[in-house]
Parts: sequence; structure tokens; C-alpha cells
Amino acid sequence: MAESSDPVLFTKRAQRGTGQNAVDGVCLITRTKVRWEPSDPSKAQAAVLEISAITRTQQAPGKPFIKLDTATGPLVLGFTTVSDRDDAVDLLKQSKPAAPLKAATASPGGGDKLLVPSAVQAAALFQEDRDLESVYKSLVVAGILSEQEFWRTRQSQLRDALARAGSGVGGQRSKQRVGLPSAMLADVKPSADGQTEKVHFTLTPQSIQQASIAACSCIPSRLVQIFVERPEVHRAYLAHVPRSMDEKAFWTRYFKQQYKRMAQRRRQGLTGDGGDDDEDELFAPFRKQLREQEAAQAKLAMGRVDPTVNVAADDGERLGGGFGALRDGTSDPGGPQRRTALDSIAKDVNRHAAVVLEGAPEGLADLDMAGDGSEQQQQQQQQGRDTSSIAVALAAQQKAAAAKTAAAASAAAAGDEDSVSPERLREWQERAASALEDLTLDERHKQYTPLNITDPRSYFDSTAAAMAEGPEGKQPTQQQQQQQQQQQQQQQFKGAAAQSAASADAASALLAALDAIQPLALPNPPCDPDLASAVVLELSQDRDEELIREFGPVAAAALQLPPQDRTHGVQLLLLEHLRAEALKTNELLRHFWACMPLLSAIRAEKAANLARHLQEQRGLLASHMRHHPGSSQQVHVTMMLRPLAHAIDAALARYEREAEERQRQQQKL
Amino acid sequence: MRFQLEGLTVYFPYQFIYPEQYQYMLELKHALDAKGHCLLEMPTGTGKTITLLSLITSYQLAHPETGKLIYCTRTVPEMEKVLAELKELMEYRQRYFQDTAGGAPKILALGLSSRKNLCIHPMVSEEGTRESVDARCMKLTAPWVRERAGKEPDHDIETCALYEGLEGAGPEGRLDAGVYTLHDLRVWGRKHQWCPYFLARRMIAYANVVVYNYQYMLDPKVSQMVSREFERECVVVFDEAHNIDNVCIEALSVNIRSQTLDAATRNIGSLKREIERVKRTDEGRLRQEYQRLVQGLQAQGVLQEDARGGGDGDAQQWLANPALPEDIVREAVPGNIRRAEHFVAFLQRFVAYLRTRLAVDQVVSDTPTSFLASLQQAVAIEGKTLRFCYDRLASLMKTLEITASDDFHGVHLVADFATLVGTYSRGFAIITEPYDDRLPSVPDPIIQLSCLDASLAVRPVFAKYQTVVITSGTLSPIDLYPRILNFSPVCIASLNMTLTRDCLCPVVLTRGGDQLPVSTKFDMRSDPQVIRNYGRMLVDLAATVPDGVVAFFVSYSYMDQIVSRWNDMGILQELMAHKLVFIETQDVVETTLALDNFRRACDCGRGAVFFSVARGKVAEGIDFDRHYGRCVVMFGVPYQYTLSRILRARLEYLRETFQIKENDYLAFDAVRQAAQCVGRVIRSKADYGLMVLADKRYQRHDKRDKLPAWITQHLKDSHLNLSTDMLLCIARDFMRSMAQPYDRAAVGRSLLSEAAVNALDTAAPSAEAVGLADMQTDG
Repeated sequence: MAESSDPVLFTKRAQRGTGQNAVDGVCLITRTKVRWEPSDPSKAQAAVLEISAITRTQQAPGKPFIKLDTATGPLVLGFTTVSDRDDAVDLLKQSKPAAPLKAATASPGGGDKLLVPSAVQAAALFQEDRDLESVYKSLVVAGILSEQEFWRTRQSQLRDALARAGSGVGGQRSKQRVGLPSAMLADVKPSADGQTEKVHFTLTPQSIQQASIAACSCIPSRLVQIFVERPEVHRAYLAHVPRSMDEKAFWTRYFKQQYKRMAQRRRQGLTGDGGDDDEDELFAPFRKQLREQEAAQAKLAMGRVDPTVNVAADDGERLGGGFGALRDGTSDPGGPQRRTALDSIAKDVNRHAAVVLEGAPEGLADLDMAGDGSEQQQQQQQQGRDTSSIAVALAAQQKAAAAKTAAAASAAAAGDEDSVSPERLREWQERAASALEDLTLDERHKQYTPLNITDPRSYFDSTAAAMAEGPEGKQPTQQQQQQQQQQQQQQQFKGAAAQSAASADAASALLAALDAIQPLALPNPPCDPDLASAVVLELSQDRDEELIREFGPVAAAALQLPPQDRTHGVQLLLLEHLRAEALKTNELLRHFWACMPLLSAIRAEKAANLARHLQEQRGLLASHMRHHPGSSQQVHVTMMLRPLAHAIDAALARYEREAEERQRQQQKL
Repeated sequence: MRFQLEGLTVYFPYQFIYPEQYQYMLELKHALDAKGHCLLEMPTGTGKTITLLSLITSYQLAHPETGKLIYCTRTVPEMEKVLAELKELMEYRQRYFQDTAGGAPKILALGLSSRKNLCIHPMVSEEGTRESVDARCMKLTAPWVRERAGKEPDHDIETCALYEGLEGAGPEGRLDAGVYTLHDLRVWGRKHQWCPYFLARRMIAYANVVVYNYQYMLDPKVSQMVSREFERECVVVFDEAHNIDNVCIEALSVNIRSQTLDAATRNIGSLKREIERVKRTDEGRLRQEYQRLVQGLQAQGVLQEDARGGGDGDAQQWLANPALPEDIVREAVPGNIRRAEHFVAFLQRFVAYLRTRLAVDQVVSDTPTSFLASLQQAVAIEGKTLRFCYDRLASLMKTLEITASDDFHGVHLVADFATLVGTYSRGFAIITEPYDDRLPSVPDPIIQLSCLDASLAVRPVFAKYQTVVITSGTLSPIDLYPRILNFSPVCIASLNMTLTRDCLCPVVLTRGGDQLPVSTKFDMRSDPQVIRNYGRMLVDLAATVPDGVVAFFVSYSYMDQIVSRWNDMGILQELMAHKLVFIETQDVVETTLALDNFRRACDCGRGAVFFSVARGKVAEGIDFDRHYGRCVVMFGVPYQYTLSRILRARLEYLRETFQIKENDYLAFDAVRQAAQCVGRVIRSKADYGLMVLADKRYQRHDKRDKLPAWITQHLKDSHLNLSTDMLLCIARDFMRSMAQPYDRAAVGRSLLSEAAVNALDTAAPSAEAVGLADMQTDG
């Protein structure tokens, strides 16, 4: 479907492959894709490449060949002439930089979040589109539809509008985001093969300097990352830096230690034994401190763990020391040594993942993490520009978090309950007991959980950015606003998600298909307006008999007028009012039909509600049509409103059928 | 749904049932009717647990003379899952009894675990290990401690308020009917200020369903204490029993290191001092003990009754005798160890002898008979005396009123060793090694008393209980199990899985992206090219497969090695760009937190990769169902370390006794582990998962034949020899087609509705159904 909106810019004969194996075919280039289609489909399969996925383009000088490298493999095409090839290369060059831009503005897939504009944005939108405002007022303000329901049907419109406005809540993010490399891996490091490693080690002082300068000046987010993932460095920094050593010396120490660690790890990896844990005395004391603290924290966290993954509980059931088979084929003799080598990669990897996960505030539903918002505010009050202030701010933040967990711990100790909230318990119970979901008809299990991914960068970046901000940061900055908006949206989104969660499979598949359509690329208007009105006029001629039958000569007279003049007799105010009513009715109908068929309880509920309102609307329209009996105005009004009334009738009839059907099904079960 | 199964009303907590579940229930019912044992294999992902629970509780309801259901699980997480499902079943069942007078029939079901998992005492529960929690608890609850505290209230002797609370409540101290997980027990305990552990111990006598660990049933040291009073009519279920032979063997094996002997020597010293002290202060006590031993009374119970004035004898338990009940001789303790001093001297001699045995510089292998012979020759200790070692020690400890049981671990271990050696002459091997073969540079001498015969430990279970059900997803070859466990089941069945769509996609990856073979064979495993190929494959899969991915490695050491190499190669970093990575470590707390975080990462939609180890804790008891595991990769064939002496001894025993070839057994064991690992991703038919067996050796017939049928029947010929690029195509196709909404049109084919099940029952008169089942059993 998307391809229809992607015009073909280039079509030339081209062979796939070279030499004797080459297959004849045609190369097509559109704005986003390179396609190759064989002239004889039995000989080869068609190939499609996303231009944005092309990692490298190679041309053979003087020969009409081109090789396009992608992650999935190269595509080699041979054109008939070199100039054809050059044209293709030019086109690709043009398209390439455009591609990411396009991806950014294109409508993201169904997995993306529901956009709901903030009050300011909504006001701006209403400014542009008065009709939207009137519909909004009559439906949302009047309480017929919720905010989310209203905006859900206007996502693409909204997205474009917001992107135009430049506030870019959703537009700036590309569709797929890659994760963060961890601090342990992101540092400057020797590469795998022996030669470059050597080079690296001889270059050590420079690279350290460079790296430390880089670390100090440019990338606060990286610093935060190091501090968060290696708390001993953070503590050592706080303790030493301004007093006993300067910034540069500290980071030199740090990177030296990093190299040592890396070398040591490599040795261990090769020989498989633990090796002794010789550490820089700068960090060692803090490490020891931290170990104890972490053990305490881990213990607390264990209390909140789902019992069905608690492998630690199993330790209580193992055979005691001395019993069991110690050196049978399954045992791991080196285990104890490795366990003592606390400085393992596995630990670093787990820590990184935990930090990233913690960084996604709404990913953590449980109680203790709920305070992230306030933490952020707290950080934001901490001002500063350089590393030390980052470190201090981070420390304050951690302190606050620690105080909170400590409070939770004491509460848990004092309280009668385990430190597990009843919701989490219920969740576990449900998860454990609902394994055979296909055996049940219960809709509880059919609800979809919305995706809830936060960009991990947002954690590190926002922390860093907030800290790097100027002293006047007490004013809500744009970033803060954005964060607030995001939080707000997330809350709203959650509500909406709960309601829409029950949408049926078919509908979601359809939605996905519809999402693939790019509304902007569709021709607008779809056909010539004059032509369309002529057709409509012609088609509506035969309806008139009915009108004349109902209203007699008045109607006949009214129909004499050309269509554009028919409204002359009607007051402008009434006309305006009727227009608003029509818009409202259409919006209601739109939402109503979105609920069909009634596959879930939530839909049925919503449809019932909408049907009631439609019924009212029907009455309203009827009363309009009864007004001024016998006048030409009535005829005109009736002419205008009758299609709407018919549409409502059709909807209500459908609703009754559906409702009956649903009732029957439920009884059957 | 509620339906009739050959006249039995079965309550099943879902609206539909799989045909194989129905079949499984039939088999199970026949075994219950015949009051015999049964062996059932049903593929993973077909809801074994709920089927078992549903049928047996319904059977209990219809036949009140049936005893308890004793459900044995491998791990605590599994125990929690069983209880959660049972809770759901009981809630569901209620709806059918709303009109009945007196409401729904109530049952009491509870999980039993160690003190470490149940204790709520503010100080004791802070202890780190199981042993120390046990010891602290005993210090507060031992009968003489409580007695002294009662007699001398001024002396400020510490007791446990929770235990006293439970004792004080007397017969009131009980649980209401219901299903209690460990958490529920702790909550109940806090509410009433009762000790949850002792409450659970007390209540299992009245419970209809008891869920606990294998050890509590199989290990004679524990089962004599916990499971002694269960009646014969009980139904015992071993779930996930594919490893039951290993558990049996471990339950009867003891290891002695030089540290153990050092500790034992210290313990003997303190026993001596203690005896001296008691002699001075209260000689009567020792004399009484001597009198009892002369009279041949079995020491424990008698003394306790005296001390406690007839209360129930639960409070003070040492571990019970390590030998099996029927092997324990009921006669008087031999004269030469009746006196406390003599016994201590005897122990001293025995420990000294063990020390000489431990000082070897090469491997020595003995049978119990030859060990006893040389013992007799060297220090003139005979087997019969050794046999009483354990009971005599327990009696002495009680007489001396010693509570610090964990301090006396060394001497206990020596006594256990002595009793086992003295009792069994067959099915054991004593292997003394100066160091581990894999770490020859680390001297660590060890005497291993290794049980070789799995049937020894499980024999009393089969003898005592009417029906024992052994079940798992992976019991193939199924005829092996009755032989190695030495029992005759009335039902053996291996059920197939009916599928409406191919929700399992097992594939064998033999080559990497560069078409070079991949394997964890010893000579290939550290080849950088293999490591790189494995890594690239995982990165590409992580980019292709949504949600959770699980990777299993053959061992911890291999995982550590490959992770560190991947780190060097930058592969780990690339992997992290696609998904969060979590790694199982040998630190259980860290692993648990990693698992919890992994689930959270999958729940929020980000997706994650979990690195785990075959035969590890995670592989044994954690499910990666639904979005927690859309793809599982088994790197290599998880062979045991085949040069292990103990394994060699066991293989030899298997060959001699059961004519099982060594290589067959090793391959069988490795493949069942692999099948177990990859089966972790499926828990229902709506679930789906890609299973990558990444080793060229899986392509060979001898491995493939040993995979369970539910894997082989989905293993297409075209998926047997894949390289990474082909795998990715298959993965994409599979994920795309499986992610489509699950079609309920399958009803009737792979799902039976209530009406269909009842029609099935009426259509086949029960006699015919029995005949049908018999035929299947024969086949």
C-alpha cells in the first residue's frame, strides 16, 4: 500500500549479478526503495532494498555495474550503459540523506504512543480549525467521548500538525531506537586483534588525555553513565577531586584502571581461571563500602521479586554442604573461584541493564520507584555546568532515592506485611495461573498490554541536561515542559490503553494496515471538486420525487433553485448551527462505526453509549426537520438533514442486530 | 468446565480442554483406580500441572478414602506456580457448588519449605544460609531450652515468641481451609504471631494437598522427619521428573574433605569436654543414657518424650538417619560404643583413619566391602558398629543438650558417612581423589561416597505409597525409567501434542554466517571463528526476534569464556544495542534480580536477552513462556564432564546392571537437558517459540533420535542443516506468521469444549474406554 504513494523515479533494464549467472530484469528506484524485478519470474526472485538500509555503494569504474551493500547482503546490478548506472547513483545519493528525514516525519507504526495534545497545542489546533473546536466542544466537553477517544481517530492529522508546529512530541523520534552500550563497553578500548591492541597500549597516555578531556567537556551523559554504572568511581570522585587531585589526574587514574581491568579480563577469558583482583587503591575502599550497601539493597529488592522466579529461595532446599555429588560430570569446579572474582563481566552487564531499566520511570510500576518525577525535579534544581556539579547532583539524587528505599525498608520491617503490594501479588498469581490462555473464553486474558518503552537515552540525557542547565533553570524550561507533557501523556495513554486494550485481533490488524498508508501522500482532493458536485447533483435528482410527495408544491418550487442558491432562504445562524450539528453527528457516527463489530465488552459498552447519543441526535435532527412546517425553509432543512438521519438510522439498526448477536453468543457460552 | 470421565466428575478450570489433557486424565484415573504407579510423558506446553491437580482433586472429592496429594517439585519457583494454579482451580470449582448446602467442599493445600524460606522471626530470618537459620531456630526452640526458660524465668533465656505463640494456641493453632503459598503462610503467621514453619509442619498432617521439594520425599534424612506419618493411600506426584535419577543419587551421597575432618576433630574435642562437664555436674544423665542403650531403646523419641512431658515430638529434629528406614537394624547399640567416652574415642579413631585415606596422591576407587575390610585391618572397626554411628551420635548430642547443630556439621557428616558405608554393600562406590581433574593445580583431596543406584532412594516411596506418578515433558526413552528406578508401573503413556498451527519451530544450526561449522566440541569451542559465528547469530536474532530471547550455554565456564570473548570482539556491545542483556551467575541473589529485571524489560516491550546455563538453576525451574521467550538458543550439546570418576563409576554400574551403553547414556542425558532447555519457551498452544539448536552435532542421527517426539515431529528436514542467514529468514517468517491473532477455529480439533468432552464420555462406554487405554498402555 505504501508503495503506491512512492512514485517510481527511475526505470532501467538491469541484470542482477555479473558474468554468466546474470539474470535479466528491470531496476526501479523510488524515493525510498531500490527494486529489481526479473523479466522472467521463474529464474530469480525480485529484490527490494530500503535506500536507508544501504550501507555502501560501489561502482566499477568504466563498467555499468553497481554493488549495494546492506546488512542482509549485497545486491549487484549490471545496467546496459554506464550513464544509466550513473543516473542511478545520482538518484541514490539524493535519496539517501532524505531518507532519515522522511522516516522521522512518516507516521510511526501502530506500536507508537497515542498522541494527545496539551492544552496549548489543542488551542493552536482549534485556532486553525474551528470545526474541530466545535466538534470537540460538543463531544468531549459535553462528556460524550473522552479526550483520548476523540484524538485517537485523528492521530495522523495531529501528528502532522504537531510536527508543523515544531513542538515535535512524536515526530522527532525515529521508528526504531537502538539501545545504549554500557559504560564498561563504551570506553576507549583496544580492538580484538593483536596488532591494534599493541598500538593502543603504546598510545595509552594520549588516548587517556583525549578521553578524559572528552569526558570532562563534551559528554555529560557519558559521565553520568559512568557514575551510575560504577558507583565506586562516583564516590571516589566526590571524595578526591577538588581536594587531593585534579580532574585530569583522576580521569587518568580511572582510564588506567580500566585498561588494567580489560587486560585482566582478557587473561581470565583465555585461561579460564579467576586471577587475583588487584585494584586501584583509589577505588578499592569505596568498592568495599558499596559491596555492603549493595548487598543490603539486594536483600530488600529480593522481597519484591516474583516468587515464581525466585531461584534464591531454592537455596534453602538444596542439600547441605557435604551431601550430594560433588565432582560428578555436571559440577563446575572453577565456579567457587570465579564467584569470588566479583569483578566479572556478567555483573557489569547485569548492572548496566538494571540501570537502563530503572531509567525508564514508567517501566517500573511498583511503589518504590514511583517517585522518579520528584527526583527529576530535584536534580533540576541542582545547577551546574561541569563534572563536579554533575557528580554532586547525582549524589543528591541517589541520596534521596536511598532515603526513600530506607523508609520503605523500615516500613516493611515495622509493618505486618511482606514488602509486596497486593497488586503485585495479584499480578503474580494471575500470571502463574493464566498460562493456558487459549483454553479460556475469559476476556480478561484477551486484553493487550500496551507497549511501554522509554528511550534509555532519555534517562541519561535528561539527567545530564538538567544538570548542565543555567542558573535560571527554576523557570520551567522547555525540556521540563516536555517531560511534564510526556508524563501527562503517558498517564492519559494508560487510561486509553486500558479502554482500547480489548480491541479485537482483526481490528488491530486492520489498524496496522491503515497505519501503513501515508495520508499526506494521497492525492488531495481525491478528484476534481466540480466534477464531483456535478455527479452528486445528477445522482440526487431522482430522490426529489420523495420530497415532492411529502411536501407538495413547496418542495417542487424549492427544487427549482440551483443547488448553490437553495440555502438563501435559511437564516445564516441556523445554517451555522445545523452545520455544527452535522459535524457532531458525523463524528459520533465515525466513533460508532469504529466499534463495530462488537467483539469485546469494552466495545459493546462504548457502542451502547454512542447509540444512546445517536438516538438523541436523531431526535434533535427530527425536531429541526419539523420546524416551520409548510415553508420552503423546512424543505431545505430536510434536504440537508435527511441523509444524516438515514445514516443514524442505519447505524442504529446495525447496532441492534449486533447487540442481539452478542447476547446470543454470551448465552451460548 | 465440569465433565464426566468414566463416571468421575472432573472440575477443570477452563472452558476448553486439550485432547491430550483428556487422555492424560484417563491414564491417571486408571492408575488411581488400579492403585498402582504410573509413568506419563506429555509434551511441555500442554498444561500438565493443572491436569494433574484437576483430576486428582476431583478424584479426592469423589473418593474420600483417597489420601493426600503429595506434589513434589524440583524447585521453589515451581512450587509457587503449582500453588497458584491450585488456587485458581479451587476458586473456579466453587461456582459449581453454589446451590449445594454447606457450600463448596473445602480443601487445605499448602507448600512446605525450609525454615530459611518460612521464618519470620526478626533475628533468625536474617541469617544467611539454610544451616545457620536452622541452628539459630533450634537454639530458641529446643525442648530443653524452653524447659529451662520455663523453670528459670529470671535467667533471661531467649526463646522464640512465634513458636511459643503457636504452642500456646494449642489446638487452635491451625490454618483455615484454603490454598497457602509460602507468602500466604508468612502472612498468616504474622497475623496470628505464630511460627509459619512449625504451623506448616503441623498442618501437613491435615492437609489434602501438600506441595514440597523432592528432597522431602526422597532424601531419607528429611523424609523420615517430615513425611513419616503420611498414610499409605496418598498419591505422590513427581513433576518434571526427567532428572529424578540424579536427585535420588544425590540424596544418598556424601563427600568428605580435609576441612570436614578438621571440623570433626574439633567437634570431637568439644564433645569430650562437654562429657567431662556433664560428668562433674550431672552424671545421672549419662548413666540414664547408657541404661537406655543397654535396653536397646531407639534413643531419640524416648528421651524427648521425657523432656517435653508428652508434647508432639516435632520441635527437636536432627536430621534423621541417612540410611533408608528398612535398612536400619532394630537392635541394641553394640557394647563398644554405648559409653559416651568410648563412642567419642571410636569416632576419633575413625576420623584418624579417614585422614590417612585422604592422604593420597592418586585416585583410589573402593567398594564399600573393600573399604570395610581395610578399615577392619587398620583400626579394627567393624561394619556393624559403623552402622549405629549416626543414631549413637544423635543420642549423645541430645543427652548433652547441644543445640549448635551447624557447629557440629563435621562430625555429623562423618557419622552419616559411617552409617551409609556400614549399611550398604551394593550400589555405592567410594572414590578418593587428590584433586579435581579439571583443576589439577589445586590440591583438594576428597573422599566421595557416591550412590550409583537411583532405585535405592526411591524404593521406600514406591513401597509405602499406593500411587506414585512420575511425569515430565521429557521422559524419552520412556522404558528406561522403570528400569533405572526399578518399579513396575500400571500405566506407561507418552502422549502426543495436537497442534492447529506449528507453534514450535525447532531448527538445527550447523554453520555460521561464513558457512564454517559451529560446535562446542572440545577441540572447536575456543576457536575464535566459532565464537564469532555464535555471537553474530545471536546479534542477528536479537535484531529479528521481538521481545524475550533466551540463550543457554553448556556450562558456566563456557559461558564466562564466550561472554568475555564477545566483549573483546565488540559483539556484546552490538547485542546491547538491540536488547538489554541479563546473565545468570552463580550468585543466586543476583540471578534472581536479573530474572526479575528481565521480565520487566519484556513486560514494558523493550525486549531482552537472558544468558543461562543448561543444568543451571534457571534451566531447571524458570519458564520463559509467552513474550518472555520467543526464541531460545541452545549453544552446543550440554554433555556432562565425561571424565568425572563418579560419572564413570555410574556408567559402569548402568552397563553392568541394565546393559545401557555408556555413550548412549551420555548422549541421552545431554539431549534431555537440551530438550528441557528449549522446552522452556512453550507453555500453551497459543504460545510460540523458535528453538535453535546451535551445534552441528544435533544434525547427527544419534542425537536427533534421542530428542523427544514433540520436537522431532516439528523438525523439518529443511531445517536440519542451516547457516545463520537461512536461520534469519526462517525466524522472520516464523515470527511474522505466528504473531497473527490466534484463531479459535481450532475448537474441535485441538480444543474440546465441555459438550464435546461429555459426548466423548457417553459415546465410549467405560468398559470400551478401559480396553482402549489398555491397548495403548501395551503399545
